[in-house]
Amino acid sequence: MAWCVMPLEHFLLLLLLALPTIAAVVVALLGPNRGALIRWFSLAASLATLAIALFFAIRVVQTERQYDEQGIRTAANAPTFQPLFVPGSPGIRAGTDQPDPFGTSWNLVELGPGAIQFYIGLDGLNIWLVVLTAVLMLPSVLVSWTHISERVHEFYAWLLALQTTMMGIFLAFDIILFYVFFELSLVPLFFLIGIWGGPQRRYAARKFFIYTFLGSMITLLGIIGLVLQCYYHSGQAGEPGILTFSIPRLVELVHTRLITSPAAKEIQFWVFMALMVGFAVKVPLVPFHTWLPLAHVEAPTAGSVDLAGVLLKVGAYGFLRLCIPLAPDVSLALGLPLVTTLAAIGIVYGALCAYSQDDVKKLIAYSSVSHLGMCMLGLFTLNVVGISGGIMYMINHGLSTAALFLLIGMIYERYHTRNLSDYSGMAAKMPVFASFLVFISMASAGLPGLNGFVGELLVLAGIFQHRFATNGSFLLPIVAASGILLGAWYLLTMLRRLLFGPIKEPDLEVGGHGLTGDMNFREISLIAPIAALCLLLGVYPQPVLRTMEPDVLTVANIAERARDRAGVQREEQPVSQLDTTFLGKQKE
Amino acid sequence: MHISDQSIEFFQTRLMQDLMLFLPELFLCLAIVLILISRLISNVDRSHLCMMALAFTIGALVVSVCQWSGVSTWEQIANPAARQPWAGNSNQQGIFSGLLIYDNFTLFMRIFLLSFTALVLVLSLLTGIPQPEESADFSCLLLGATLGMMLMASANHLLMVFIAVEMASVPSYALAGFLKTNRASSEASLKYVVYGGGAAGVMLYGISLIAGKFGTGYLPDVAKGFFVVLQNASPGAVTAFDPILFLGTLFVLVGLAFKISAVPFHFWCPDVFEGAAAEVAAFLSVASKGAALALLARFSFVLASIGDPNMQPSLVAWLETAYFLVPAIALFAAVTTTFGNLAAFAQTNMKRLLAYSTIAHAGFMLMGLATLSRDGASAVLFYLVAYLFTNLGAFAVVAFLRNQTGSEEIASYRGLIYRSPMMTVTLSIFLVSLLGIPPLAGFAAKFQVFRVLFDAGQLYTAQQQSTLGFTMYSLLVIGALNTVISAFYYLKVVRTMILDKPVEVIEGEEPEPYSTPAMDSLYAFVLSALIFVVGILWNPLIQASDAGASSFKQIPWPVATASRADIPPQ
Repeated sequence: MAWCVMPLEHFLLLLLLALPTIAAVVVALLGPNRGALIRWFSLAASLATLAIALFFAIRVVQTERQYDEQGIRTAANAPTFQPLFVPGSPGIRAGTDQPDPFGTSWNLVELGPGAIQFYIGLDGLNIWLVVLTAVLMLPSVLVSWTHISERVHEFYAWLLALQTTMMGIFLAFDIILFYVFFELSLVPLFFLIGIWGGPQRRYAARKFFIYTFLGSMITLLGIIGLVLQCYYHSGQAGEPGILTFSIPRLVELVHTRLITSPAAKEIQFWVFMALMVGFAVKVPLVPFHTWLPLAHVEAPTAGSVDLAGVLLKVGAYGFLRLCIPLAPDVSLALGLPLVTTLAAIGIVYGALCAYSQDDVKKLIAYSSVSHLGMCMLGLFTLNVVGISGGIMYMINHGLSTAALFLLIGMIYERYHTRNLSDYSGMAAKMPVFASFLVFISMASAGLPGLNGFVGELLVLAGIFQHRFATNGSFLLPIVAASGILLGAWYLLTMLRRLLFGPIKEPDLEVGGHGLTGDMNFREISLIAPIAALCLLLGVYPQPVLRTMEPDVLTVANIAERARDRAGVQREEQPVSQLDTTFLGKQKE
Repeated sequence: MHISDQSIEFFQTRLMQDLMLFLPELFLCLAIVLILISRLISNVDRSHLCMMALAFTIGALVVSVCQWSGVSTWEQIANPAARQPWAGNSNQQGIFSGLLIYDNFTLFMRIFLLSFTALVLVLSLLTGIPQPEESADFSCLLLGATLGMMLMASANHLLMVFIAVEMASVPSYALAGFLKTNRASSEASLKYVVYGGGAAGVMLYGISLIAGKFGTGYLPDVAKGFFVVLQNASPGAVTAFDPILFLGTLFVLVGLAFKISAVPFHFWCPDVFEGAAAEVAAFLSVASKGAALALLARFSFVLASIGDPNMQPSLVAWLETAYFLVPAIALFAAVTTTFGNLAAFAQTNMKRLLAYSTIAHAGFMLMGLATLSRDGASAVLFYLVAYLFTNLGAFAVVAFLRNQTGSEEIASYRGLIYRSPMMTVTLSIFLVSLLGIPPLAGFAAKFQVFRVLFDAGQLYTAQQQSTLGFTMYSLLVIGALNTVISAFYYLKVVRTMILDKPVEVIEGEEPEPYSTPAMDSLYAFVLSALIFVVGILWNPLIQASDAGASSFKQIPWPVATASRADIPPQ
């Protein structure tokens, strides 16, 4: 049996998906009356998942270091993604007895000459997002400890199910598997918002579902189109085409075979547009963002945390993993101007909207629109620095925004209002809370030494890089820089209104959950690790940047080749050397 | 005329052979006769005769499965090597001198219809909708309709087409009015009869036009005649316009569209489903539509796959037929799906909502047929099976809940999760599967349809048939948008059941749970488990539906092997 000899890592990777699923089922079956047991069980499950995720983080760091030392994986010989720890590998290429480096032997559905596979793995692009998902699960469980008192078993079951789907999205290397998790993630969040949300929860849940469902249906068409187009156009010299659903294989096919087809541009255009609609809704880019503030405001704290912390990254991750590598020419010719423009509008628009909000949750929701615009700007610089910055930005935004939502959730649990006009001078009443809020706001605004700064710096550096400047004007860098300024502006205003000035404390809600005064031990223990991570990533981001570097180089190289084809002048300095200076690597 | 002994013997052998192939249908006939006789015996009449019907249906199902897997003797059961499976080859055999056709497609539909009827009989035993004293009538009508539908799936002659459709329809009319004390039920039945009679008349008129034009009703001969007319009328034109042929085909399509409940011939559907018992509605929604789709598939493919006298399909003929049929089917599909989904949103009665949802799904299946390719037929068969479990499950839960609450209004499902978690979870799974969320059966089915539409669009475009290609791509987009529209009303039900609190909870009281019988829960649970199985493990079903569709000919593209991979890049 193959199961018995499965290496430990493969088993653990499966466990990363299976553990939350099993926990969700167990919790659902425990019934509504065992609240304490359910909470502790969910906590244990998320701790175990976190442990596995951290184990993989260490393993990936080690492996990348080994590869570095042996020089195996350099940018030059990595035309596509190379996931590690793939369970069931090495696969056999369909129809032959050749080993398939871009697949696994676990076929789910055989379709003619190809197969949809259970192809999951880790690489530099997704490992830190997986860790982020696991990290944020912990505060999600803890913050709901007293907040959620009715239908507890359902709540934790949906929360754990949500974690499975988010993990699945990041881990999937099969395009259909990716889509399955992508679509499935709507269901738990629909219920989380719809059952435990605020007064407008039903409307918010429906709008969220339908909006993202519309986007993902169009994405599905794009995915089917892409796979079948690859199948038609990859046949060479009489041999039949290749039907594959594996993302690395598709990337490779697009670059080795499809690119020579005269219809390449047209195919890429439709693929890009179809994929973009789904991901742009998820990010959200500006004209597609209206579901987000509503969903955030209505969602329970844990839902907001996962929505802002992880699910928004799914859109950006989709751009990075699918859109850019699978439609590089169109990403360069059309995506770059289009997405960067939308992102730039989003940065300013989101920031201005955030400034004018009275509801703190809405303020943070709009700040997410602004921040994600920054992140997209980084990704679509299509160079190593910018893309690294974009991914860093995803992680940082995940941490700091999640922490902000957690903090707001805590104060809401006490006073049952989130309006800034109801508060004033709370720093005197809740000093610990105030210091955490200031700290996290600074991280979010990008104070040097904290994590937000690293991402912003890299994104800005990417934008300012010569090649990007020749493509556009200096307008984008200016907008991006102003976004940082605006971010500080609305966050500081929020701090001033909430924490400082004459003391004005709303009435403690009668019949609330009995929480009064400053943060208790549980609340401190859930926010402190995030704050620590913010600091750690701010002063020592190297391990994260180093592990993602080879895969970022892969994406950047793909874009680089597209630039060559488009006739954009190459820089004198090879991209990898220039960029590694930014990443803290010693030049030879 | 003198007939020699030899030829009598020949005919007798043939008849025996044909009857053997017709065995599942004979089982049903036998069951009907026995049930009717047993009404005369008072002791037997008092027992629940659905059990007997179920036994015979399962018997017929076993025979069909044996035929499918090529088992005809006892030895072959033990020894798989000796089997001669039909699946995998495309043998076709006319039976009863060509009135019916026996091939993989027939067998697939037989198994589909028989297993569905068996499931409906089990459901009716669980819900007790026919009382024991009425069970004889109910099971006779149900089996009679099933028999007609099986004939629809194997009809190969216009005469048989009409007889089969009527044989399926007439018992359905009676079934719709089965709740005798219920006014709505009688009204539904009457509406069904009037609409059905009208549609049957139109269809018969169309058949008479076609048969009159060619002097035969035998479908392959009709197809040959079609080709001659289309080709000779005006050389150079893509399609020739022949008014008789046009009207004849259109009228036949109208008759079938009525059975499929395609817009604008769908008016009966919501009323009938609302008035009839949920069990009957489940039966009509799946079996009746499935059989009609099968007949439409048979009709279109036989027309399309005729070329030279050797029965090898020719591309010219295929495209002539495609230009004739594809736009019509595609238009039906697009309008049906869109209208069904839009109308479903406003419904407050669960069965009415499901009725419009089945209309929309019929549109999806028509999209698969509109490709007029073997893959398209295979996708439709896949869709049918996924739709069987999902739709039957939804109607079954509606029936179980009706037994609890006496209501089928969506409003009565408010806060159902507090009262009956099992029914809520299973009904949500059925609805979400109808919506098409992975990894459920509904998603797999929609994925198949989208895939073949894209595939067909690409092939037609590559072969310079850009009108057909554009039609396919348009259907693709319409299908995707419609899936989103359908989210509105499926979510509405889910929301009512799970997000809303029951009135008692709002008033601070304990909600009263329903006591769902264990067997009901088991039934719903098994069906929802099957939805997961079909949604995750597509392979067996894909192989079966491919085998089922292998009776139809491939589009004869000019490339030698006609494999899509061999089409040179543009």
